[in-house]
Amino acid sequence: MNNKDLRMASILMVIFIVLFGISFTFQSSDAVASHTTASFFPRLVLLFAMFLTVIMIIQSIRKGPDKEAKKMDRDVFKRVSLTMLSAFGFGLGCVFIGTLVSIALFIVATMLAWGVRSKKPIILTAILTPILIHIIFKQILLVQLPTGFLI
Amino acid sequence: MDQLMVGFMTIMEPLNFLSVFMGVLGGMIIGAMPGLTAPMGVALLIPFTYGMMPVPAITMLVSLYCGATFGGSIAAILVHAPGTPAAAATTFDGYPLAQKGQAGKALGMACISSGLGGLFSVVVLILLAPVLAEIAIRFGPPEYFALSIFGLSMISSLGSQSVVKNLLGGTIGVFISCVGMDSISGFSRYDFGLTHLMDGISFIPVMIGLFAATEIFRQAEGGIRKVVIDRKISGLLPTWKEIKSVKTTLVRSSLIGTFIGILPAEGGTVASFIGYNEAKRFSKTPEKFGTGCLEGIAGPECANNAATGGAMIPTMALGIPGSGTTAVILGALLIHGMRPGPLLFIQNADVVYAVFIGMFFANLMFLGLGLGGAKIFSQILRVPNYVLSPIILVLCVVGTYALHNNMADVWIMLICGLIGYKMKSYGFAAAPIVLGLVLGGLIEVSLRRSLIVFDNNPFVFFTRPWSLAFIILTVLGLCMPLITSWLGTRGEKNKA
Repeated sequence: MNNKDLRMASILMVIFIVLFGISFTFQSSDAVASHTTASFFPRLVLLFAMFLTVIMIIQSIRKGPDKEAKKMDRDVFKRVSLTMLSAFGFGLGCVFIGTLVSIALFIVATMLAWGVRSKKPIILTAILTPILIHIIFKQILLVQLPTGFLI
Repeated sequence: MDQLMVGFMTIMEPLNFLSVFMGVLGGMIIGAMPGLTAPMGVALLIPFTYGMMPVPAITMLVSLYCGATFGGSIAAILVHAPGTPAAAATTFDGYPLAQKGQAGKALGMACISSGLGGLFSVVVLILLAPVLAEIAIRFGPPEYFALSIFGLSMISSLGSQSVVKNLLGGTIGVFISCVGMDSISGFSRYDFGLTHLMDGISFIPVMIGLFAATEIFRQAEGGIRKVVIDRKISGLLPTWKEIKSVKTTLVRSSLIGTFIGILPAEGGTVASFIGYNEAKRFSKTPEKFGTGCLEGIAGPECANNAATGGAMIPTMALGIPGSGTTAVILGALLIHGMRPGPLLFIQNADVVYAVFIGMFFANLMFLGLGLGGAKIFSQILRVPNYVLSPIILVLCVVGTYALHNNMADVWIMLICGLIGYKMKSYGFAAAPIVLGLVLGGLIEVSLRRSLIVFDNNPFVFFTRPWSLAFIILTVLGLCMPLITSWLGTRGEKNKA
């Protein structure tokens, strides 16, 4: 499908239909009027969303296929995916090995993924950031940070 | 007047004054960096305010909003890359003037115009917000429903170019607000058996995800970026004669910016472009626009900062955000136990007026900081994005976790960042989703209460004057893009 909008609208339509279907599984009391049930408002919103999606589909069909189908460059794709992966890895790391060590590891991983080859900025940022986070959040703002088996 | 005096005394307390200063400073730093926006800065700052009292917390956030709106002009003038979207129009004349070797004069004019626009809008905010709150206190559920629908309809002109995509984004935001326990029937919705989702999805993780994490993933696309500033900044103050020559533009842009800011969902970006266009339209020398003309800097800069005070009016008085950033500030008010709306002026008058006075000082402060420290702030542009981006993502994770000391919020934030990134690549903007999420709860409750109170009568929205007025405005707001595009097509056909 060489039409970005049509592709997105189709995905959204499927999601909205599924969510609309799920609304029939909500619990409700028989004694209440329709607008006081839990499903009333979500269904109304989903119907409006589906209406807008239909308009988007019509618009994208009328517009026709994209003239310039831009494909993401391999390097760009690698950089974005690695940044996302390291962000999720950072989240997991916070739970299992502790926030401060995870911050250092995340910074090293992200900077390498971005193509930084000079060691000095990587080491400095990886050391200073967890220290500053610890001082600002734990010592000054008294905010709890997730802890794992390390720190 | 008494309340204003109390507010003044509150802000004069060292901690509160320091909050204003830190907010302005942080805002100018964030605004100066291309890619970091005001809503992102405010969303990232919220976790730092969890442990604070409401006055320093909210004043710090609004001060950051003011500082970031001005800060955007630094990058716009020096490197032709607007620090924030609201400074995009400043590049038209700011950068050419900097190229002529007058970067200092351009920055000085941007600073003075922003400060004056901001101060004017705060005065309007102080005068108008209580009046609006007084009117709104008589509003019932039908009026609130119609008003929030009007607020939502205005998002059709936000961010992305497509009206349908903006409305769809807003609708998705409203849908997200449905997740969790239904406040009327008490039954759970879309929790998928996850206990964390039974309480609903908090604004803050979604906002941080959509505004900050999404932006970092987008920065990853561009890879390493270093900014080179080759212009020397000297002679920051424009002459008195030069300031006098733009006084009409300043008055006009202050009025435009404040008015645009008051309109729900319209923010500094729209205001600055209108400010620029009107400055050009009324100028005696329109041909000089685009070549480094001072009016071309004063117009948009004054308007975008005037929009900050304007945007705070519906946010505080009605609980309807006036811009993407004020939607985040509204979320912060809720976190600090305050419900924005007319009752805020009765229940939390001390906080409200302290925030207003704090905002006034914030505008004065960046006027001083901008004129005195523009050279220093321009150095911030030299910080490479590969250092800044991972640090911002760390702040996103740590700040989100600190909200409820719960990793579930972190996963929601990261997933929203991912979804926001994908949706942005398909032309969807983040602001409509956030506005929809913020307004969703109010829309649902007021709609269902209206139907319950008025015996299931859907015509109640058309029989009450205020609600009918808001519905008419909604219809006009939705039709406006269609009418303007139709007029544009007709005009082109006529020309052909």
